[in-house]
Amino acid sequence: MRFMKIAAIVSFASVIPATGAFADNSLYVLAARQGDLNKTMSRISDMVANVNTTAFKTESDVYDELGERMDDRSHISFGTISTSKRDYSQGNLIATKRQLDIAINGPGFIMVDTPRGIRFTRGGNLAVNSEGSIVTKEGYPLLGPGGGTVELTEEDINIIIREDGLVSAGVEERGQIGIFEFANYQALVREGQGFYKTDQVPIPSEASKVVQGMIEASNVNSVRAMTDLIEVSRNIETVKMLQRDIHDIKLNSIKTLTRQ
Amino acid sequence: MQSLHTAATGMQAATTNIDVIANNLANQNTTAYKRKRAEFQDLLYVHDKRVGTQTSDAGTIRPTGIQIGLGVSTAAVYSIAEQGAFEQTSNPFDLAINGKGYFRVTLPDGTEAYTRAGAFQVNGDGEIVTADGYTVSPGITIPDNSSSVTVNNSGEVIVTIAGQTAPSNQGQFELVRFINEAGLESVGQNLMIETEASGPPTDGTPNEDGFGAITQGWLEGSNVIPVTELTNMIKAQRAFEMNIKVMEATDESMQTLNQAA
Repeated sequence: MRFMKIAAIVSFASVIPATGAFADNSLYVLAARQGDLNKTMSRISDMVANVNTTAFKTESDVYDELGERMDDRSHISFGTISTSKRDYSQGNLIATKRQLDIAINGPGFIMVDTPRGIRFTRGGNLAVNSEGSIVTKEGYPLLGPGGGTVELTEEDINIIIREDGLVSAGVEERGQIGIFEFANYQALVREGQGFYKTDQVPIPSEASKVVQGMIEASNVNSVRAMTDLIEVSRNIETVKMLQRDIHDIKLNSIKTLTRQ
Repeated sequence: MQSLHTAATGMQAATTNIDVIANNLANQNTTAYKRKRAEFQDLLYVHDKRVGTQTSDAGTIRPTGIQIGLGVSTAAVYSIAEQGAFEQTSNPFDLAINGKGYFRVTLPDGTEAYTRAGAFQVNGDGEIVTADGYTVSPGITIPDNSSSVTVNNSGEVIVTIAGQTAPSNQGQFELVRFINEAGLESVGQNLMIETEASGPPTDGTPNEDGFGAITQGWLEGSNVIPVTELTNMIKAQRAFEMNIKVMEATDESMQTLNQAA
């Protein structure tokens, strides 16, 4: 029912021409609404497409009223997407039993040195490159709390990754995977491939635990996504109906007024 | 409507996932097969309102933006090197590696491939070869008058020749390993080849320096867990269906929009 409230605002706006205000904006209000509904539809389809994406985080559009006072008697509101909110809640952990698969239990992110600069991710499908550094699936090295990489040697067989990200082979330590938090999670910019970009200073995360042999699943709630989908497509129909009504009103007005 | 294309990427991803699962299930009885897992990642994003942009000349900035993703893509299909269960065959030329390492196999074109499937045979010249007749490094020959063949944990092939009291050592299997095993390329026939990502092979002797021990008369089974695969298949199938629903909903909405006012 999240999108219904806006439909009410739209219908209110559509009543304006009937009550006699001259500046008839109703069709524009509905057109804007239609455009935003299309965006929300894209958003929902992106959530559904990423239902099996590693460590994917759900995002939803936040609708807001954009009001404009026309004159003393009339007021017009556009229901528009003001922002979107990302849900950083923990995804389920899936056991893969692979030594270099890690999941983060908690709010932290892994810091990665990509060719585009420092990026952050929760995708823990790691690998070793031919030089022995622990890298992401794209081959970008992971950075530790001090900015160092984790280097394994050819003799390392049983690699243990501790809860704090410390990597060891047997009794020897090989480096640490850094886990970081941010002051404002909503300001992280998604870049695709599971990477996030930010100018914020990463803070070492105390509250996060690294879990070896697991992968974090997507936190998309498919039931919610399908419900939202139905709601949006019905909203699109409602808007279309209102547009038709307004069209009829205009048509009738012209007919009535010209019939002398 | 972007959602139509987004749903298409979702359906493609679900199909890839089902393909990988089907291959795992098909290979659940393949010697030394390592299960594969498809890994997905989000595609690119479009910015509707960019985070951090100025919202007024007083210097206030937008704390959160609007980013809409364009779908999903397959990031990787990687194999999980967990040891498979051992099956006893009592065949003297069935060798399982208990631990790390690969047998080196010489292909007919002279290049080398690597395998953990130790279901070997003896060819017409008495040489130990793979099921496809490719020589297993270093090329051990069994004399045709030998009565019994023993392969010990270190990979030494010891035969007893009829009429001789002392057993004779015919050679020792070599194992290799890679710093990045996941980087090996599967080429079918249970064989894998070296790539830029896997790094060059490191040679070694079985049961030494962290190499696995050779167990004669046993084979390493696949590490596929059918129950897990079936569960994953249900999930992948449902994901496919959900994307179809998105497509239908988008189609319906487009139909609504197309109806003349």
